[in-house]
Amino acid sequence: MDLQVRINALEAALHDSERKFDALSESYPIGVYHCDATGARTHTNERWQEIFGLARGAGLGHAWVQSVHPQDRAAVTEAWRSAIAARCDFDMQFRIVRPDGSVRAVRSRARPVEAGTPARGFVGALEDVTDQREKEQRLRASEAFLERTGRVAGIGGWEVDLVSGVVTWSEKTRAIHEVDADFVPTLQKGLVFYAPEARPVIEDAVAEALRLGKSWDLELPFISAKGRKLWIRTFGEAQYEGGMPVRIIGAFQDITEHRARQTDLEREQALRQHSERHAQDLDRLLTERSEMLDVMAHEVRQPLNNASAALQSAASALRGIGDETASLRVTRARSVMAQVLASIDNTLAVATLLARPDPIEHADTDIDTMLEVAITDLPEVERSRVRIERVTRTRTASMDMSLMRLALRNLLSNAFKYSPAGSEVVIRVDDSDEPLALVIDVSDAGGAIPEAIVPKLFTRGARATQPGVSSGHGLGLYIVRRVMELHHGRVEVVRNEAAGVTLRLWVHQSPG
Amino acid sequence: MLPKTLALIDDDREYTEFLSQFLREQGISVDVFPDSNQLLAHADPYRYDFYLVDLMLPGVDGVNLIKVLRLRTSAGVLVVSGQLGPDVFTSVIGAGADMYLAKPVQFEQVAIAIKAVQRRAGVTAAGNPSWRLDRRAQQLLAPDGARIDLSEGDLAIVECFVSANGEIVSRNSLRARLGQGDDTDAVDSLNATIYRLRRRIEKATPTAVPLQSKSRVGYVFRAPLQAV
Repeated sequence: MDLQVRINALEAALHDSERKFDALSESYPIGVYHCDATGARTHTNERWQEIFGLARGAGLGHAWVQSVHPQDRAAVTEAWRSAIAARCDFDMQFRIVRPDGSVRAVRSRARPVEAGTPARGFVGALEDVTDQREKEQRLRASEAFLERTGRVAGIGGWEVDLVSGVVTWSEKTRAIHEVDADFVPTLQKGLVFYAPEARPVIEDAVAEALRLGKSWDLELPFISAKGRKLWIRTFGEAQYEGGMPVRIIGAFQDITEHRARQTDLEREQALRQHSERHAQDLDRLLTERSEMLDVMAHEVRQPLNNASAALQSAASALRGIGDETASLRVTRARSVMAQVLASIDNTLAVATLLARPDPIEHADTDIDTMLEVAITDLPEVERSRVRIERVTRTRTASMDMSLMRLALRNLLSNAFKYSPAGSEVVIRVDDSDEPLALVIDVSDAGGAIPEAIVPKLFTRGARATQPGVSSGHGLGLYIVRRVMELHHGRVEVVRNEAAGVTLRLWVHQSPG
Repeated sequence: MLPKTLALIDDDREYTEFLSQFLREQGISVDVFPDSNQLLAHADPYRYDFYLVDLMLPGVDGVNLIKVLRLRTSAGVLVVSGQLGPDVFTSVIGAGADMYLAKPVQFEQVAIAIKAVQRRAGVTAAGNPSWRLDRRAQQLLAPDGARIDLSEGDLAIVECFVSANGEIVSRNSLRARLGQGDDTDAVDSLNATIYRLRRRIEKATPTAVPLQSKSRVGYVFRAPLQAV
């Protein structure tokens, strides 16, 4: 009786306990299952059935195994087998396929039940982790994406967990620092990489971020673990939770090259600005000079000519009254004035006429008039030394008369200067068919031009120094060359011997 | 050779004083006008044999004065000016001046230029200036009877001048007539053709050749020319 009473009481307690367990199990938000020592399900709660998408009782025994994803089934079965054999915990994530075909990820955890039960089964919990797993996958994907874009853009990331003190650097951040694989970063160690002069700046920035929640974005000099000097751009901000800073996160970029390019660019810009200012100054000076030259051209030259004309009439008046001596002196004064004028003309020509960018104006020009005008530019006493030798009867050629007059005057003036006083200077005019040109030779009876001088004869500043001969500014033959170039022609030495020198002008007749 | 009467239009007093004195010594009757308006207001401004013009003038400027003169007289016009610049020459010759001489000048040079203008322009005024194109013989006949053989190209050009009847023939129409394009080579080629033709005429006759280039525009045959 006593025994029966005790059994009844035990059964009642067991029953009560089972009811309580069932009630508890049914109200659980996670799946709960029981299985015996062979792994056969003996109990599943409502949530478990819901997760598996099975009707009550449908997953009992070994039937649940059919719901495991075919690809995971072998692994799950094997894991159960070893858990049963070793009487240890089972913990595994795997996929199941519901009767409607949808796939869920689950985590199943079970623990062997030891006490009082001869069955020696397992009690387990089942969670649907599908959403969580997707989130984790997305997170991993986005972390990988960030790491990848970071690598491509040369941007590293970092994080300082202020609670745990753990500092995390991305691969790129480590690469920029050039630290070894086993380097463990800390906030303080990170700051040491900044160049000494930049350290107070970054320390202040970090302090401000912690105290006031300010972010920073700075470009600072930096020295890598291998001692390379870099410029980096550092960005960081503190994150708060419950009013307390919990972590600092930031980005990190090597901008050394970018900065070098920028510096180059700035230097170049500064240089260009400087050159532009300089050019403006020069331009202003040139304008001033050109205005001065215009004044010379108009206000000085023609009056000199007028004075020369006055002297000429004075000379002839003096000759008229028989004062030859005075007449001669006046004539000499006139010749000096002519030299001054020629010198001014050459200077002006170089400064204005020959420097102009516009093409010259070719016009039908009477060759004889041009020759005659050019000869008349020379001192009166020398003019009779010139003999014109007409090989061709061509009378008209296309040229700029003012410029050709200048060129010819310079050739003649040179010929006079470097040949014996009173010796003849010949201007020979001939035609050429190949190339189609008018050819003007100026020959004198002076000595040869020294060989050393010939190559640079037509350059600015070249002049022969000859005893007893006053040298000019070396502009004469340079002007001749420029004038001929403007005519698409040329000047050349065709004879250079002790008996004399011949310079030849090619005035081309094809160009428009 | 020198003209009998000459109008000197220039506002540089010194220059006009000495130059007019010099020209008078050469036997020319010179009237000086310091202002172009004074010339135009003169009782008979177009009666002079020759005009010597400066460009920068009070009153009507030099280029316009030349245009006015050219409407009324074929007398020689010589520009003597210190004005520089690439367009000066073109505008002066385009207006109808016969020659341009850059200041500074000596007075002898002015005389040389006057003579050259007279020599070139004088022919048209004298006697029988007519030029003829003998199509059958393919020759150009100068007024003095000289005959110049013409190539096919020359002939095409002279025919153009016959049709133009004293007007300017554009470079384009000359090139078209010669079957040339308008690239640089063709420009050079036309210049060369004209130069050779004129050179051939000048070698055949001392008569001034009335074949003149008009800067950038074309060419003109400034004398009566008829085909026979």
